[in-house]
Amino acid sequence: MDLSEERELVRQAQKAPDAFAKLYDQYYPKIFGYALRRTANLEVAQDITSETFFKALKKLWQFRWRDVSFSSWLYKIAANEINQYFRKAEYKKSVSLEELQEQGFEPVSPYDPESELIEAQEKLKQHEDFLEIQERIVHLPAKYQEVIALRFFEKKQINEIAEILGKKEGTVKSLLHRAVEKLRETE
Amino acid sequence: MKYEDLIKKLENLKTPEIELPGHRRALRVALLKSGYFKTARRFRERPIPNWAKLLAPITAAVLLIAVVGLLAVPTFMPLGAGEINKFSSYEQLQEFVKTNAGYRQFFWGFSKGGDVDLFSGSAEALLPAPSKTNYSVTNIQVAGVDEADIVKTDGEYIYLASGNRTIIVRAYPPKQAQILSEIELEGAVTGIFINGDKLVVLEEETPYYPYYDVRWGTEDRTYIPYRAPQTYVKVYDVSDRENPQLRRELSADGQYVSSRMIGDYAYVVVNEPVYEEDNEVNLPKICSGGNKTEIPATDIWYSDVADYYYMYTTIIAVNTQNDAQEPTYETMLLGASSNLYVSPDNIYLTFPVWGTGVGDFERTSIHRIQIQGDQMEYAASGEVPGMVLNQFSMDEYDGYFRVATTTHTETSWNNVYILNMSLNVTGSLTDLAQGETIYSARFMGERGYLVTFRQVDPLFVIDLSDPNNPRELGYLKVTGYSDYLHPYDETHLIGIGKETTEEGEFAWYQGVKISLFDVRNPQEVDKEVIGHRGSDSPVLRDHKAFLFDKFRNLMVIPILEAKVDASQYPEGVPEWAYGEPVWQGAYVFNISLDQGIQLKGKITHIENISDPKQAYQYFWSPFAVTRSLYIEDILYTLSDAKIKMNSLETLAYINEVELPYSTWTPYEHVPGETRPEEPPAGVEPGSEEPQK
Repeated sequence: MDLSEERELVRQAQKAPDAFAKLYDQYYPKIFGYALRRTANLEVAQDITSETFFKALKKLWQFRWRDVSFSSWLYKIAANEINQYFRKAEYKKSVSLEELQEQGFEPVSPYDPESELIEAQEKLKQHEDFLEIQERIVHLPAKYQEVIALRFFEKKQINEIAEILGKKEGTVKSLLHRAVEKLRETE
Repeated sequence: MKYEDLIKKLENLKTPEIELPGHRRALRVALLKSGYFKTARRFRERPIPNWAKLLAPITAAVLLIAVVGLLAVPTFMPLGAGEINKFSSYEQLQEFVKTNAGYRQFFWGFSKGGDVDLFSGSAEALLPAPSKTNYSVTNIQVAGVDEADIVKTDGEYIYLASGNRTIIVRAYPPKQAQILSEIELEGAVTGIFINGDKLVVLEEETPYYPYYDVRWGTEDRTYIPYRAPQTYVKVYDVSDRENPQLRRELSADGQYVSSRMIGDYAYVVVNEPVYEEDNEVNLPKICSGGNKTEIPATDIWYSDVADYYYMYTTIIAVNTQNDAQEPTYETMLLGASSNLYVSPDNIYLTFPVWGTGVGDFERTSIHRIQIQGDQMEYAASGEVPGMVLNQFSMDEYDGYFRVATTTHTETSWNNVYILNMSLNVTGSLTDLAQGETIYSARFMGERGYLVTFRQVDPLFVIDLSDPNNPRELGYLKVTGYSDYLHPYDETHLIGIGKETTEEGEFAWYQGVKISLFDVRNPQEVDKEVIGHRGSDSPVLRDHKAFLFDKFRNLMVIPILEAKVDASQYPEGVPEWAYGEPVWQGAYVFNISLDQGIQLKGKITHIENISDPKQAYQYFWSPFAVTRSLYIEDILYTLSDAKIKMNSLETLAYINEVELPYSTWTPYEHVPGETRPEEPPAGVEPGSEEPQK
């Protein structure tokens, strides 16, 4: 999605569910994937993704097209949720799908979270190399985790990472360099 | 494992691409039915601290952008409207900041420096004088007011900034083109000026912010340990191009915002956040000739800008020719600078002003600093409704300042204000194009042009001859929009933007569109659309990437061309289909009123698209052409990886110079590391054919 087009969508999305849905469809896989690759935990990734989009929706009126794209803004919210998850022993959600469902909300399609999760869990287990390195990464300080994940897992360009983290490109580069050095030390 | 091997391992690691379709659907429905759409105004009741909590671990710079508008409305220390003063003492400054800032914690952050501007007031000044020089100069806004860029030429040499290097290249004659010298610095080179034998290099060093330390409690006053970035102004004597000599070095704490050069003087604008440490408010510092001095509070101007946070904006004036002349500076306590416009006599800084409703940016404060050589004086401040897009939204002409703004509330509308030199509004034209937003603006003497857009592109023509009564002369509606407007002559404009197709309430962007407008009786005389959806050009964001010379009928635009593979869509290509990048390089056009816009040919630096070093991600490739210029009859195209020389007449390949460049990898950050890979051999350079 082109930036200016996205800007228009974001503007409309504040009132029009259709426009928000377009943004959601575009970014759900990215945000969920990012959360999963940061945490290697499907349930947590689900919660983080839900939380990220609810916060985005709630805060959409505050989103102003200034120095940061909508995509980076979402990543930022997600990154914060992830950091909170790592910081707290217990990740506290303010919204959850379960609660919404308890309030009488009905999903449109049959949704069996259990079986979907079990299946996905099996798939995740097959990524042994990834899980091995991910386990090492999560022991690094959050700033290193972020930059490694964004660069190598999310394949973000330096300028995008700089935007997401709110740092200069040069800073991101040296941070990345240090992060890889730190990771190397964990061997 | 070796560092390089770990990088490779990380790059090639197979990562889980798992989806949970059930969760995805359920969340979608939950979001869309959540009721947030019905209560768009509920935010007014929301408790404030949540945001701070939400954004706690994000760095200061980000914080500024995101937190903007989320805090409680501050209580202002009343001053008369437009009143400006210097502080009488440090205590007064401290009191002012603490009373007005309205924050419980300190936030600091920087607006990005990129958005900096220029353009001359008078229409005559806009039109290229029958060139006395036989080489092109940076595409600037205002005649006589140079803007720093990553590439400069003086007709014989090319000076270019690349990462932390400044490179001097003998460019003419092309057969003898070669690198003469390189200046390597610690920080990033943000721009350069060349003025005779003096090269001005603007450098910025950014420290790392240890934001991970931050705890953000609602009651606690937690501080992010702040370390100021440093902005350096370095002046080199390059009379020996092979051996540049550093003649003067100045630095200031703070972030580089923008710069201009008028005559012998370079003006550099630096922002430094105001912060508090041990209950003391900091003062800005500048360093010249090795002596660091704190600017005393009694030298600092302030006005009645009430803000959530403050910045010191310091303008430093440096005589580029006389190394012995001490630099002068002028410091103001203002908000976060958003845009800058400079005429030959005045610097205008604009800042968004917080509205009374949380989250509104409905007004812009404008500050005029009069300049003459090294004399600077904060002369006036004023305010207009709406937000300013960029430097081209502003202009000074015949003793009046004109500004185009967009107001966003429930809907949006657009305005043009004319202000006198005291920055009082003398005339206005408001409520243009409701529901639309300004995409580009340009002032040419007694006319102003605005492109607003939502679904189609109205180009408004505005008569500014009466400063008390600006009026709309007419408008043109065509598909697409322009992000940049460039005067062709007094009655014609070139617009660069995107083509669009409409679908219901929405418009899909298509290829890059170049239009030639006749603004007398507004009509689109000619247009050219390049590529499909996904195509792009740096000109859409940076006017300095644009090369135009009316007398040579020449227009050169760097383009990333994307094409949609129609075979992927057997039932017809939908409007939203994205093209894949297939080409990047410079489009060279002939442009004239008789013939319109005609493609003359294309020049690329990506000669081997199967080589990932060259074509990887196209746009970010070091082989992506970012600038072009000419000297005599030679067209020079520049990427990070090379300078290529072609005949301006036939576009035939003549020569090229390879440049040392940095890629994204962390390797390049290791001092002493040079180009990681030799450019791939194989493809014969200059294989591009002129197109008919």
